Amino acid sequence: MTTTSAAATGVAGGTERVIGYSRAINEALAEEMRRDERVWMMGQDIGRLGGVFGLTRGLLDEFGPLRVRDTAINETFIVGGAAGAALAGTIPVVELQFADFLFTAADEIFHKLAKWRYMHGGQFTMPVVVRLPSGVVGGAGAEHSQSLETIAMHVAGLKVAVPATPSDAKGLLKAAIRDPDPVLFFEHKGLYRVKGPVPESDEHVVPFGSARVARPGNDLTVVATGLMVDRAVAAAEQLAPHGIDVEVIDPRTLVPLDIDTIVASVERTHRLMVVHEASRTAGFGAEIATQVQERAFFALDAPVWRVCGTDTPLPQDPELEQACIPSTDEIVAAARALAAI
Amino acid sequence: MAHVLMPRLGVSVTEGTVSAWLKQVGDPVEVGEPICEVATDKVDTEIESTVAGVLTEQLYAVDEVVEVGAPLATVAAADEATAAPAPAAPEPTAPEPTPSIVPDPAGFGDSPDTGPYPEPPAPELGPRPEGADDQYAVVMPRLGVSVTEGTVSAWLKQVGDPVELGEPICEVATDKVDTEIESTVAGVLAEQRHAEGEVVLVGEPLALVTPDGALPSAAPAAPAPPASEPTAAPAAGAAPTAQPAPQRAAQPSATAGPTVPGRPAELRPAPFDHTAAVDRLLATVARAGRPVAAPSARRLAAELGVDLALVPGTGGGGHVTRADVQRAAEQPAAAPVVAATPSAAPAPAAPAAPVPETTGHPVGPDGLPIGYEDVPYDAVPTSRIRRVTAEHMTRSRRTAAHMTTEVDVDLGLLTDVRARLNAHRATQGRGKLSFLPFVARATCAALLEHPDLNATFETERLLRWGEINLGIAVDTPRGLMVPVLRGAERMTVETLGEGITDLAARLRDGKPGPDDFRAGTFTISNPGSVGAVSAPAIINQPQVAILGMPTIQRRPWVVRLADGQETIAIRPILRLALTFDHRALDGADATRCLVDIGRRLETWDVDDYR
Repeated sequence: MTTTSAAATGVAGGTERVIGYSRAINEALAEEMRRDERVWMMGQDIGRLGGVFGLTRGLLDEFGPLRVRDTAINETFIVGGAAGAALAGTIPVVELQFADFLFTAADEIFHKLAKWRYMHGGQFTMPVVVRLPSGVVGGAGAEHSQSLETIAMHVAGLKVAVPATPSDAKGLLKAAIRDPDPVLFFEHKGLYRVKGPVPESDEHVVPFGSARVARPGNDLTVVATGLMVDRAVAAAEQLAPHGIDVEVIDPRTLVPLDIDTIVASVERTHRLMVVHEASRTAGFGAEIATQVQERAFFALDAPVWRVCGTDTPLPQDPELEQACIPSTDEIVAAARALAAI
Repeated sequence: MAHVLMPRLGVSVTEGTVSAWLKQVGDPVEVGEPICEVATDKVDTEIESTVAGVLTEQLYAVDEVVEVGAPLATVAAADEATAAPAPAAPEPTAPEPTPSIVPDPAGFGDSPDTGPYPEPPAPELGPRPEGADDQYAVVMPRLGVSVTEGTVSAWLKQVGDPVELGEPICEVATDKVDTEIESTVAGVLAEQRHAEGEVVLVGEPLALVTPDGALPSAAPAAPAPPASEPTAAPAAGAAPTAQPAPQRAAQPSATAGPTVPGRPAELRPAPFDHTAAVDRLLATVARAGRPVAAPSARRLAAELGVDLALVPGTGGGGHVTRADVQRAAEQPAAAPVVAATPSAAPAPAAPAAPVPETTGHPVGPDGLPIGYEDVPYDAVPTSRIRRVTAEHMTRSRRTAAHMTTEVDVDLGLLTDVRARLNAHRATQGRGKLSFLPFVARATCAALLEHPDLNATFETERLLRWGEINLGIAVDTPRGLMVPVLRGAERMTVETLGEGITDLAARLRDGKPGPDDFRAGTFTISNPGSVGAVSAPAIINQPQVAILGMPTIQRRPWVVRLADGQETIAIRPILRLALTFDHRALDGADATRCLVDIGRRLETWDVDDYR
């Protein structure tokens, strides 16, 4: 399993620019629409407003109202329409204003998108990308802040991307649009303003199923996604002076999951902790913990731990909200305890 | 009805073996009257009754092991003794209604506070499976990532005191913090497991808190007398009476309990507490009843052929880590290598014979070593001291890198000195001193110059002890014992000699105290007393060296005459052997110390020893 190919590490040989996570998504959409005229977009307020978070700004002007279509507040229609358009041979990229609304479009996502290629014997594919602004962003409340990627993981037929950096946001979105199968693309709202280097290339495509080592280390493996990646890296830097050398792995896509990179890391470090913002119970941390112990039980020096969001609805108060998701301090404390076992 | 408990017979004594019952069932006993004899690895002693009455039950047979704090015997007060000891089942002829089946209907309406879901009845102390004490234990919590133990500084609750959840029961000092330990169980304090000043490992029980203050295992194996029930039963209503668990502190991340209709549902546990998780996890190590090792350590042990059961664990809670396995594998003559079981393939018909860790040799189905089935034998049960010694010696050989260095010491001068001193003592009516106190005195003097030999080795650090607590290995009829002379560096030859005599007398009489064996920092073994001509020894852990003193032999010896010529003379020669832990120090260090001891013995004059 190669996990650090040139594309995967985000270095395509060319120059890099520092841009924001939002800008990276915007560029990926524009580049792919320029590259392939079958690509088009649909969503509530994505056209004239430029999207509720401003990610699609300028796209209406460049590509016109046929390819950048505003819709009513109707997720069932947005995803269902995309499913039909995919059958007709186009490549729809749709935006739900909040990932939480995938429940509103559940039948369209979990049945039409996920199962129709299979049910119809492969007569057609469902190359739909559903963009899902995800995670806490500072008091959006219980129905607008969830991290639901595990639910997407659980239903066969969907691919799941969870980009944590501008480079991965751009490269994974381009890969998603080029993928013949439906992709649920969980953009983290709390990362939209984060800036980072992005390769200057129209062909910056990050393949699905290749994890990124966000920080190499030897004593403890931490798997984290989305907003938690930077917190895990910050925790690792705090732990380093205490002699705990943490390796942070960002799987980047949960379906397919690059378990090989995680297992290889655990076989070196002998300890694993999974950090995710989503609620602890039955989150993807449980899945990773299980797969690692299935494959590398005898590499383990200690139990596999999760540092996760609480099993509660997310509060609207921003401070309470932060208390419900892992902090850098919590990661540090848990890592120290785990390393000491 | 009351119990006589197994008392704590010393700081480090956790159990004892009943060696004889002095009182039989039915015998009257007074307070302070011995009821049985108990042997521990430190002392043999008689256990005196703490209750007056009639002995109704011996809870342990001879040769059974009793943990400290466990009830040894049941004594009924004189007036109860006549009653049947086992309470009968509820009397069928009793005219009163059976309240546990037909609840008083008024009970529902009378207590709107509790609603239709009454509080669970008070737990009954009925017969319970082994290990159920856990639910009553207040465990020493982990007070910090690197904190592995604490010292009980004060008890805030005494036995018999009622205790609420979260109420401080004692104060504990660690190297990081001093803190109060809050009870995780509500009830009555039944036992303080550790005295003030004792060290408690994280995860060990500090106290037992039971619903009624009785020790769990002290519960009679019969239901409570029905006569006391009627008042409690209506309150319990129709609630099931089966074994409710005692009230416990809500455990974060523990599984949520069953929901009760009409009550707020606890569907999800509280936020995950990683520190508490460590505590709970590490507490399971001690309870596991088998060697606990990380999966990675298990794999390594299998690869290296190391028997995990013989590897001392240094991980959290004492579990075996990869490093422990590696260490065990690297030590020569260390943990028996399983793969190397010699000739473990006997007759092809027999499957590979197991090698029990307790015997070290393959054992056949009849419990005899393979191939010895037709050899007549006597099976002699081993004493507790024998078993403790066996464990102690193999552990020492396994962990320490033993090496012995020897020097010959000419005791010619000392022989004269000793004769003069003893002659002087005889005029005062005092007994003779053997050579041992002289060797002990010279050893103490040398150890002060070579403190690395009066030490404990812990890999990351060497603890140089600030006093010399000299262990003297003594051969007693009951087995090898090593009493300790505390602060021996401050003693003269004569006080050393008298101290040794005094200890030996106490050992002979079987009356040593537990502190007589504690905190040794260096040991002298004296196999010369039975005729050995060389004296390598096994280090008495956690010390790093032991001096072996063989017999003094008269040998032809080259000596220098006053005129510078040499001749052969007959001299009393002592071949001192210093066995040391090569992990802690090197051969040159140890030999320098030994030469120092020899030099002092050869050159000191009488006043040097007093």
